[in-house]
Amino acid sequence: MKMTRREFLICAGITTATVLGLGCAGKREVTPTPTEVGAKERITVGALFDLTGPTADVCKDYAQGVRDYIKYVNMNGGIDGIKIDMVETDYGYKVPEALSAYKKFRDQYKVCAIIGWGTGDTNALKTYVARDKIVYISASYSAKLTDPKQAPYNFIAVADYTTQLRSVLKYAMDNWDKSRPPRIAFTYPNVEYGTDPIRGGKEFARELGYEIKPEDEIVDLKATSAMDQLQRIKSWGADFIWIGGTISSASVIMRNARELGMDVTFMVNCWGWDSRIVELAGEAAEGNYYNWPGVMFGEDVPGMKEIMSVISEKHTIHYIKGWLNAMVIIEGMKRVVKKGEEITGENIKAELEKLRNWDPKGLAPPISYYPDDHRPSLANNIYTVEDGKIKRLATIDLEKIYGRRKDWLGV
Amino acid sequence: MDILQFLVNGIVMGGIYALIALGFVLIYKASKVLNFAQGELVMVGAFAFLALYNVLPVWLAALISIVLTGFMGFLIEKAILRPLIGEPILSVIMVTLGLSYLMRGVILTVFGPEIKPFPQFVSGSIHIGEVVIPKIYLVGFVVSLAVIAIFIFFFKKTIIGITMRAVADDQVAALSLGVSVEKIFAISWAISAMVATIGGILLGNIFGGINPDISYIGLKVFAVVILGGLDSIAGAIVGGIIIGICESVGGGLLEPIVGGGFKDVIPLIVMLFIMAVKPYGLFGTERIERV
Amino acid sequence: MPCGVFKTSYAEDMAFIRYPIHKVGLALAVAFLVLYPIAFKDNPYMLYWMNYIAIFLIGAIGLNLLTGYAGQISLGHAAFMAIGAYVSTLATLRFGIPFIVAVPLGAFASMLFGLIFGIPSLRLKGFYLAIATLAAQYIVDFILVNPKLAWLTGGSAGLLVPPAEIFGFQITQTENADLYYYFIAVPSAVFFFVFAANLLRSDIGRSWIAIRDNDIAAEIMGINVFKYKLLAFAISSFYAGFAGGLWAFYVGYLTPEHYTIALSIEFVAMILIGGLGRLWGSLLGTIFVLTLPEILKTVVIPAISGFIPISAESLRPVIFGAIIIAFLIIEPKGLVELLRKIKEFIKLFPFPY
Repeated sequence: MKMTRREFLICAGITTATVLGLGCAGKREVTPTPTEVGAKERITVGALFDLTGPTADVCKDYAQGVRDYIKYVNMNGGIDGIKIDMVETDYGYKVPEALSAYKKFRDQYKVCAIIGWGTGDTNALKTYVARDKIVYISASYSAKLTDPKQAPYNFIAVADYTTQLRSVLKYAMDNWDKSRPPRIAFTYPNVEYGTDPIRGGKEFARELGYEIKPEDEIVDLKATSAMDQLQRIKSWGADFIWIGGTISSASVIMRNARELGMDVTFMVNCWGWDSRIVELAGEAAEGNYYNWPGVMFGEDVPGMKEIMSVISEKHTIHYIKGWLNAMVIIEGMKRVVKKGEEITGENIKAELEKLRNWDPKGLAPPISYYPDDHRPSLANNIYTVEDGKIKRLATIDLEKIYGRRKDWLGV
Repeated sequence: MDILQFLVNGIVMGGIYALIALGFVLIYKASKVLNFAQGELVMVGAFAFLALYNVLPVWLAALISIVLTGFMGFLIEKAILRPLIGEPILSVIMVTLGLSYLMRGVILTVFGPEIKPFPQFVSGSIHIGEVVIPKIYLVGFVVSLAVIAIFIFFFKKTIIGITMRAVADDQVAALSLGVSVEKIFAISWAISAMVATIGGILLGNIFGGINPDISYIGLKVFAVVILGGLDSIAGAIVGGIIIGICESVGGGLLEPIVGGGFKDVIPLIVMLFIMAVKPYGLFGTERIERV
Repeated sequence: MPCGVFKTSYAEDMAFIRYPIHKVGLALAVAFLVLYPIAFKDNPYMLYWMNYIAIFLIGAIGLNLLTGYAGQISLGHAAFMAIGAYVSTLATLRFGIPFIVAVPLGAFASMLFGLIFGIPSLRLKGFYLAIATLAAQYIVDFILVNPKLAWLTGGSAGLLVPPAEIFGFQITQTENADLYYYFIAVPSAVFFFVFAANLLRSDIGRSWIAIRDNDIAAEIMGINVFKYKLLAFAISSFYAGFAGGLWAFYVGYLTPEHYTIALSIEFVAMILIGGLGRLWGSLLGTIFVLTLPEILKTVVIPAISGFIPISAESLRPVIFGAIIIAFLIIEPKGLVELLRKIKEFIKLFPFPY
């Protein structure tokens, strides 16, 4: 059945008109009204998510956590009566899209706070938010974001990646029972999120006495096979392998290592695993060291009860990360409102920098920010998988051992 | 020795590349269309199988997914390629590119971007000296060779196969002999999609998990067909194995020097080299252009 | 062709503005471009769109010259844009070369690369050339992401682009960046558009068309095919490099993720949808392809998500691919042809032809 040009044009015209009509009348995905900062009943917060890009496997849950916390706050009276609107954009992990979304948040919605996602874009935006005085909390726990000299308006909710890496290195070294030094190899994706903690981590590993594989292995975020990389690590002979990628590639690495018959313990970063790791990696997931400073979903802490008041399904640790990020920002806003001041980025930053050992309802270690040190804490939890179940092995608080080492700030 | 391991990996992957390249060659041989969406056909096939696997027993799932994708290939040819017969080559390339975009988008929307665990039918590995061959790799290799053998038989002995070769050789002559060339086009797309599905299932088996990005294997397949010759089945096989080996050995040895990700670039470099030296590939037919 | 219009000199015949209606159109267009920044002075969002379209228009025109007019299929256009972007950024970053010089410098670097990639075009045609350019695209991508070269390119983390300054006056990364950049991007786009139009009505343009239609015949007729093919590649990559440089400074942050095969495909889509081998087609196609995601986000998705909960981003490639296919099947000559048909229909109404 071939349509003539004319028929096609008529059809196209009708379709376009219908779609436009439905679109204007249809449910909107985002709240459209730009709000002004100042006296109001509503305040808008911007959010950047990667729902379709290379890190979407872990961002979907995170995004839900952010949305649900805001819903929770609004359900319980908002901030002293002020309701919170969230404007979200899916930027697909592409920096230019993040930049244009940022412009929209700043100019059209006039937000004073943004809940961000990835390392690349957060690093790209840090000078912009500093200039525009918009508080930015990210799911990227890059150490660069904790140095107020470089990123004055950036905050993170748990210990940064490098500190997490350092803590698992310390834990592994403390539990190393052989006489020779342990050998470690680093794998990570070739994106900023992957490369970020490596330098600082290697420095500390050398300090502790590890032998480090000279070349790191790159495993792409979307890799479906890591056989070659693991083959090289196998012939070098590693005891530990750090995995710096998200859960998709992490599960591939673990499975491939098992297939190659390698006897290694994996140190997995906090985005490289969650409760699905057992299903995805099977037996290869047993006995590794999994990093995450916060609690597992479903643990018995006050914060979890708040979460369960909004949702009933099970989620993962990434959900907690989102919930936590929203909680920190809104805590800052609450304090500003309590002091009777206007909710601006500057004021939120000032209030956050006064937090001392603030307990985020048990979901993560207590948070302290200082005007010259935006590291929330140096504590990390090491988990493992035993007989298919996730179990906490230890809590390592590097602050108790080393204090807030200045040479670690921002590295 | 590392090299042996890389070699073995390469040969196995090469077998699968050959299988997917076969699909590409099929379409080109019959209708001179260059299917940029071949990788996406593999992806759709793998996901189709995954979707059915949870509901049906393995054999049935495999069979139905193959038939379904075959039907889909048939539809694609009828709806999208048929209207473009005779259009400039760039339009055809763009249409298949657009198609690949479309298919990726659909799979992304329906299944999401996360890695989905894919059942592995055989587990465990064989150890030959220092070389470890996961059994699933061996199975994949054997199956691809078997499928290729079936197709060679198909082309040499069955009526439809011979008809397809006739159409590929000279369309006008085939038409004059009463062959429905359009039907042959459709059949070639259908078979190509089916082959792609088998390849996808094998890939999923080997990797243990699939995400929409396995469609990028389509790019490597270009390297294979250019090396082997766009319209040569033998070329697809030989080319597949060679590319598999080059990629695995080259990547394995050179990546520490040149940087990660080089492995995916090697097939392209080989391809560029071949195009400079012997553009029609090892077994392709020389094209004589007339003014 | 309107009646009662006849030319009395060669210059008039070859002119751009041949009919009175064109004069009116030109005046309106110029007025629009001049009034636009004044009207939207405080709306950086609208200014951003204009700059976005203008910069990518330059790239699209480049590709149209290469593929639409000279007939050389290139799937690696984004790579040339990337080279221009990186070279101009590095020039300013490492050597302190001012913005005005850095961007053309990047364009020249891109042109050199274009020449190199044009060399295979002598032996390769059609599909093979497409694949070769595709391979080039991936190889450039690999080089840019490579951590071993990160000391130069910033690797996957990318580079922070220094602010652009003209004689000490800073124009990017300031409050009114979009407004200032408008006066760089749009005049550049206009200039390159006119330059291309001029190129096309000269002997170079005609040689390209001859080569596109049948290069062997062109060679026999005495056209130095190789030289003109190389020229096509060179000019096309110059355009792309210039666009890349402009874009890098505008965005302020340079990552290799932006210049991937997806962008190359978008460029090809722009010229195909607009109309291959029609200069105005580049404009229409660029506007269409770039605004499509926004339209999707604001209009179509809410319409559909009322019925099915689907994320906007994942639907984008579906609709994009579907539209490309639809266009190629229904109207392979592009939007320009479609508009021409509509114009014809209106002109001849109520007669069918």
